[in-house]
Amino acid sequence: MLFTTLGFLVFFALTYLVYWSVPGRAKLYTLLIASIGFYAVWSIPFALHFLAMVGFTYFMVRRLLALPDGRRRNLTLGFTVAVNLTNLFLFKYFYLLLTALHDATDATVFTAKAFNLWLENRIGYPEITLPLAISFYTFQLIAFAVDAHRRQTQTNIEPLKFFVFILAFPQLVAGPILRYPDFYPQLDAATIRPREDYIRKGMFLLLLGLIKKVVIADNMIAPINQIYAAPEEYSAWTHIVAAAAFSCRVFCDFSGYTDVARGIGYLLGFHFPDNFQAPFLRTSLRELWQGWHITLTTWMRDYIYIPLGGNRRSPARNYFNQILTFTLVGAWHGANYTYIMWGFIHGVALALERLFSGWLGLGAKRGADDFSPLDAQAQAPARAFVGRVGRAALALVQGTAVFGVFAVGAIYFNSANLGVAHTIIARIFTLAAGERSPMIDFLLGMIALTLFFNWLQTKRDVKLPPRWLQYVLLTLFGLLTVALLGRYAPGAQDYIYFQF
Amino acid sequence: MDLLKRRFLWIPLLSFAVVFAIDKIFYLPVVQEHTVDWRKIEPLFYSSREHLFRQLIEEQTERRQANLQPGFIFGSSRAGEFDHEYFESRLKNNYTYNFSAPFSCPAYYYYWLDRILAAGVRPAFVLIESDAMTLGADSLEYALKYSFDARFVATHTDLFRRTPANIWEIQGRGFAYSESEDYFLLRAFALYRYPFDPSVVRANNQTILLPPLPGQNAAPLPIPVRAREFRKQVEPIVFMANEIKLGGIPNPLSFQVSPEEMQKDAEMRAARHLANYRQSPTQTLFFLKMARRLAQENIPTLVYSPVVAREFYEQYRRYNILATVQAPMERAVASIERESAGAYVRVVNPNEDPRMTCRAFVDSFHLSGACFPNVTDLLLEALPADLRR
Repeated sequence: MLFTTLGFLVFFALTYLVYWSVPGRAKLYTLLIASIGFYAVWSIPFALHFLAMVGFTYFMVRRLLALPDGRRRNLTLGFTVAVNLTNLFLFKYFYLLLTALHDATDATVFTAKAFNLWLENRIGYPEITLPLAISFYTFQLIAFAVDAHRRQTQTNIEPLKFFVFILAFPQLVAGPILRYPDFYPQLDAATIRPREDYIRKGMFLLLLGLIKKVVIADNMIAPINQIYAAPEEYSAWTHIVAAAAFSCRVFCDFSGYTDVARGIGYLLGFHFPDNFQAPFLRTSLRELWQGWHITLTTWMRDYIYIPLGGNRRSPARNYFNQILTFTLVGAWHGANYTYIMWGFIHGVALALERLFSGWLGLGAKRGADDFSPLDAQAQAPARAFVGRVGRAALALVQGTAVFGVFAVGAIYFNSANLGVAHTIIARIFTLAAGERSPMIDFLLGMIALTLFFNWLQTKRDVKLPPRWLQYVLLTLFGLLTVALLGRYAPGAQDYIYFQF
Repeated sequence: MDLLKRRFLWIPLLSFAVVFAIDKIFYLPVVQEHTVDWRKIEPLFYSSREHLFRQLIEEQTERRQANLQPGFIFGSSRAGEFDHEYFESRLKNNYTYNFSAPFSCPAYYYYWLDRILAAGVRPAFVLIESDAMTLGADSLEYALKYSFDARFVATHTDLFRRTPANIWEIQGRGFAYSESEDYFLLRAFALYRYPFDPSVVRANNQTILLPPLPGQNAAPLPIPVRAREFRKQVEPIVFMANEIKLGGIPNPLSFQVSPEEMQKDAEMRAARHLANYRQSPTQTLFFLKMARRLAQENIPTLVYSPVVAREFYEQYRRYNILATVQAPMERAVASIERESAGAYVRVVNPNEDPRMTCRAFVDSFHLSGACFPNVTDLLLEALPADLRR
């Protein structure tokens, strides 16, 4: 069920009314039933599969908490993680494995077509369907199990709260990827209280998210896809704008989704962590990643990068850890070489940035376990000679360069295969002549709007008008949103991150 | 019971109710006069089909007594110029209604066929326009906005539908759940159905020169009017045309654009419609349902692949549309005809017929009105002989 549809509007209105009408634990039951229904609208069999995975992990978490430290406990964790990863692998990466085997052996038996034919003949299904939200819920389940193993959770995990923690519909489909401290403690029935400030925040975020998604992101799809469908026909300038525009589209789509998810969370009395903090206004790649899909990158930091040794090992090992972690970030996004390449490029770029940061005078001081640490010197030589204007100019150059690197990486993200991505990159770097897309001005306008939304995320402590006026303004904002959705909604489009 | 104790919990609902109520203002004719683009006549055509249907029902008894049986044309703007008089002059005991509407599609045709049959009207024949365009994924937009009724949509929706690898094997009631949801969203919010655009308000209040319209006193010069008056003036003419021409808009004029312009137009339209072409499971399903129903009722049916400019037909070849859409459609129709004893369902594709010699086009999609007698002759020839004079 998309947040932009009438079905969701009716569903949420009913859930909201029931949820705030019932006492204590009944709220959690309401939320659980609504969430199961929310998922089952997409597929009843996969809803049962999802419930089975949550049930299995809950059972293992209980065992983890009951077992004393030792080998059996470690094996229990290993088994829990392995089952969850196998589930993810089977549905998401099986075709990638086939492609890799086919590329290596050239055997037709390893083609998706041959496998699908076999599957249809034997089981009656034409292909393996990717369950909605599988990457998100797998990570949440694994994180919970690891936290339980680390004894960073309560010892008594209630089944109702655990199921609501994983299934809660606002965050179910595309995050934020919630972890134990983010959400579980809020599920104490006695503490779920309506808060007026949450209601106002929720309304604002919900409307803002819809505008980002429907007005900006969805309207950028057609012109960008047209350019990517025939990359050899377009000029370097068109490709530069399209690459930047695609980055902006992903931001507006996913940040819009997160805003709506958080808004709904607030309306139900919960605070969910933010996933984006002005990533395109950052002056280093490291900072950009600190503001981009925050709940995924912190997950990767805490459950992969640090266990690999973080930056506490040799410099070479640190770079390796960083590149590996980001390659896995890429692979998490999709079972395709292009996503893996996208992650790898960012890992390499971050490692290079770190390598040269001292010389360039970028970034901040290194922490004990910085995810993408930079050996920045507070008094780097380059900075010592520039004044305020110079610093601003430098920040502009740095910001543009950082966004440029991100946009080049995004070319892989949006390309059907590596060949398309390499064609586009080659055309950009050879300043190739070609057709200029008639939609360039439109895309540039959308990029400007995206930067405005990034700037908006830097405004934290804004002085607000009186409460009654806030409600009037929110109602007017609601009317504006309906008018904009009616005018610009080209039909409900799936969120990009729904495929992950 | 927080909802009763904390009044602020009602604010989101109240706020939504206020927005919902204000939105309804945009349904008022006096507001729409300013907010709906004066050039946008598609809603008028769709609403005029309701008028045409009522006319059909009113005339039915009288025509039946005169031993006349109706024929029906279902198509898009590419079938709008079929002339009922031309059909009647070459068919026995016939009068032909034209239910074509701009950007329409098989779901829309099925809607009207369903209503016609439910009203107890038995067609002498049915002509369905169908090609890659009407079966395309974008073809539902206008019909969803301006046609159908809630009952039809609700009873023709599949909550869970699987599209098979061969789209022509699709089964179900009709609309996908998401399409049905879009329909109700469009009905719930006026601003979705009639989006607000300040530049339209400005354009509607500009003065335009309107040529004298039929039925008005002939004036020697174009009449200056407010743009928003245009629709008001055209509306009675469209309804009058319904009454006189039974829904068709025959036009004897012959347009012809230069080959260079036609090529450019064909490429532009192909880039828009064919480059990322997706066949709609919903349209395919309604097309099959309609063909099967007509076959089972033994109603002679022609599936007309509309004549397009050669330049555009070449684009069909370039994008492999003839092999992936046209050919499977022809096979599906042949199969449906075989399934029911006594069925008569045939595909007519004048694009491949050397006798289609009149080839003047308004653009690469639309055949000039002057060439419609040629294409009508080819179609009538494909009908069973006992229907023809």
